[in-house]
Amino acid sequence: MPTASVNRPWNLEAFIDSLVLELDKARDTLAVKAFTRPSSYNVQEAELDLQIFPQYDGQEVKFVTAQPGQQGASALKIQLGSITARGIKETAPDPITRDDVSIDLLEGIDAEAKESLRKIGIKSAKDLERVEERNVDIQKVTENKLDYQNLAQIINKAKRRQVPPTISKVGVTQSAGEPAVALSGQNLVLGESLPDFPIAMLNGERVEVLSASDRHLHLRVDPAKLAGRSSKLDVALDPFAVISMELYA
Amino acid sequence: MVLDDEYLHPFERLFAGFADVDAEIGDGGAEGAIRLTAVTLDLPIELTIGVTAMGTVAMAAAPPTQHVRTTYMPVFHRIRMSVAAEERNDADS
Repeated sequence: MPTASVNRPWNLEAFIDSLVLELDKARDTLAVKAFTRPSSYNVQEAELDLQIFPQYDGQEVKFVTAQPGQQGASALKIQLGSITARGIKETAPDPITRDDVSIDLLEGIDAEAKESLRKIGIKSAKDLERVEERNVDIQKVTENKLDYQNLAQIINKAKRRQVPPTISKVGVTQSAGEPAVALSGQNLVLGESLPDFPIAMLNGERVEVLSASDRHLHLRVDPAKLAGRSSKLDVALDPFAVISMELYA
Repeated sequence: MVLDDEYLHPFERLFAGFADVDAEIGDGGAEGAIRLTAVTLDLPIELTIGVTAMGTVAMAAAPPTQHVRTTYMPVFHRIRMSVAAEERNDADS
């Protein structure tokens, strides 16, 4: 996580970006509270007076925040307009739900890239899906730091940590008129199943996956092959979740 | 992004804390209810603005942490906020 150092000059654009992000987060906090307690108050106006020293190097104006003991600082006044409680409800995105993943929790994306995403309003995996649906070029807006494919992998990995798969029952069933091995459990396939997954291997040989869902997985296996012996079944549900089991029939 | 300052907090928390007004007394029964119509805050704050190697900015703030005059006082910036009651509209509730 990069550390910010004080006493360094900053430019107004970067400061405004940071202020907007902070106010965005404050708005999200107030919007969540509004769910439980209908708010009827709003911030009519807010003003920030900063004690700063401007610098100009011939090309760019920058500012240094005044430090204790320094005299003669200038004032930078920033005025913030009003946003009503109704406005908060209408414009604030829905809070992140349990089946979603916050961008903040993703590992493998550096803090700068996360801020680039936040700046364009992407705070969760669902926000990202909405942006992808609109064909936004994520590489351009994140200055080539991210693309949809590597983001999808990182999000799937994070989701897998939140919802690990569990197997509760293995049995023989009929699927499309054929005998099949049926695995029952939870979180077997995530909502956004990756192409080519799940992959199943029985005793080291690939077996066809007939159907796969959140709770069920049907594999084309002749039950006769399982009879009277111990068999090893490995199923890669996605690149981040592999289940292995011994079957006795 | 981290601002290494044990006394100051993310600016959003300070702002949300000041803006979070919930003041209604009584249930509007026979005696009526008292309703706060506006709160204006005007106070000095301590504010640290940090810059990362990439040039992005992080902010941390707090109300004054020092109440005793010393040779070197912290720099006090200022925040003014006006929080007011919205007009009642039953359709909104």
